[in-house]
Amino acid sequence: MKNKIKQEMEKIEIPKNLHKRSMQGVNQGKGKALFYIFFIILIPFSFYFYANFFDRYFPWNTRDFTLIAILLYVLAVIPLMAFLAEKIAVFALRRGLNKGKNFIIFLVILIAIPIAITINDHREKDLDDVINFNTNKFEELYVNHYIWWTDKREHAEEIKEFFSQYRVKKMKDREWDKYDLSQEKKHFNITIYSNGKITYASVYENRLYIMGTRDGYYKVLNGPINIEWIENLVEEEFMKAEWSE
Amino acid sequence: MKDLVKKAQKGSDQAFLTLFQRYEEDIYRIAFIYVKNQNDALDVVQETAYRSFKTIKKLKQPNYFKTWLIRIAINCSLDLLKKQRKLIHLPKEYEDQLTEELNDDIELDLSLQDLMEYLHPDEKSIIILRFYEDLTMKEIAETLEMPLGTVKTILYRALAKLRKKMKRGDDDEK
Repeated sequence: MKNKIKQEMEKIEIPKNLHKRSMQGVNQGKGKALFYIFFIILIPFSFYFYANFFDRYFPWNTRDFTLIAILLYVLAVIPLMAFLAEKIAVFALRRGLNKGKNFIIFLVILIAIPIAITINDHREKDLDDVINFNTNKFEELYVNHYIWWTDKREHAEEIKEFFSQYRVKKMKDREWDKYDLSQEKKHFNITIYSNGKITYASVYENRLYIMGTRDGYYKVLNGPINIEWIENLVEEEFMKAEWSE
Repeated sequence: MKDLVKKAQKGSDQAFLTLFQRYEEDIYRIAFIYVKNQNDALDVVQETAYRSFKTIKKLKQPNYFKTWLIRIAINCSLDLLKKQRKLIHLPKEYEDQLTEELNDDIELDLSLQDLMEYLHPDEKSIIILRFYEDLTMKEIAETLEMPLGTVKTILYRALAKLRKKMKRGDDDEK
């Protein structure tokens, strides 16, 4: 009986890709471990950027809205991170990045990129770098909610030059919340349209808030900003416009 | 082999692959008996490789690597059949356990088709482990985590089924 069963089972033909399938099974095992590593790395970074995104663009701090934001994160962002982690794991396996030294280097690069972005975001910058617009593609700007507007490139260049003398650094939201803005007597806001993009800045003597490519709250390191300069420019140009009509 | 298992348990995927590929043909053949087609049998082999690679650290006795692997292969095959809703549980009468020793060394003119078509998956497991892998009844009971009496009952009934089928075949020929 024993020999008969063995004989019968030996008749089963072995397919050519058996070896390949065994290796795929092992790679699947390795891939899953990589997936979990990348997923764990992506989650805190996704949370950081998501929280900042919501604070910037949806400042309504109600309990219901916060609950919706959390729900959206759990239902949409986390599955997206899982999807990304899987893709990165497959990429790493294909490139042999899961072996020894290569894996460590790959992991370091993966962690270093978001850290580098965060550090760059928080380093000192020139104000014209933060309120960044292309004077060659300048369209128009408004100061103090349409009290004065201009579409002249020389005005844009003059204002950009004015901004370039100040150094700023990004500040945390809670620093801005704690700060008493009533202490700052002078203030202006500016909306710039350039190259199809809009940049809005609310500028105080020692603080400013920006909505645009580098949005966020900033403190002025070599302030106070000379708000009178803008006020004088607006007044001069306004008077010129009045007289020319 | 013990050294290879130890290396595999320490994380060497090359050592694991070397070990696995020694038995992959046996695993394929066993899977084929359950699932009856090449594609599913290859899926079982891949899944067996994956599961065994993930859990090799749990293997306490390296000498039983092959038996352990076969148990995983049988479980993967049964899981696939369950997923495809092709698995039917053994009737209650199988729970009656035989305690006496039985003579299973009976000459049967058996075919592959008989193995695949006429036996229930649990019966296949025991026939394969007994007559293809040469395990003792006690070893089969440990591998399949079944009481020894149940193993004997299932084997006895599987053999009876095959004998009955053979007798019917002989009668048809006459």
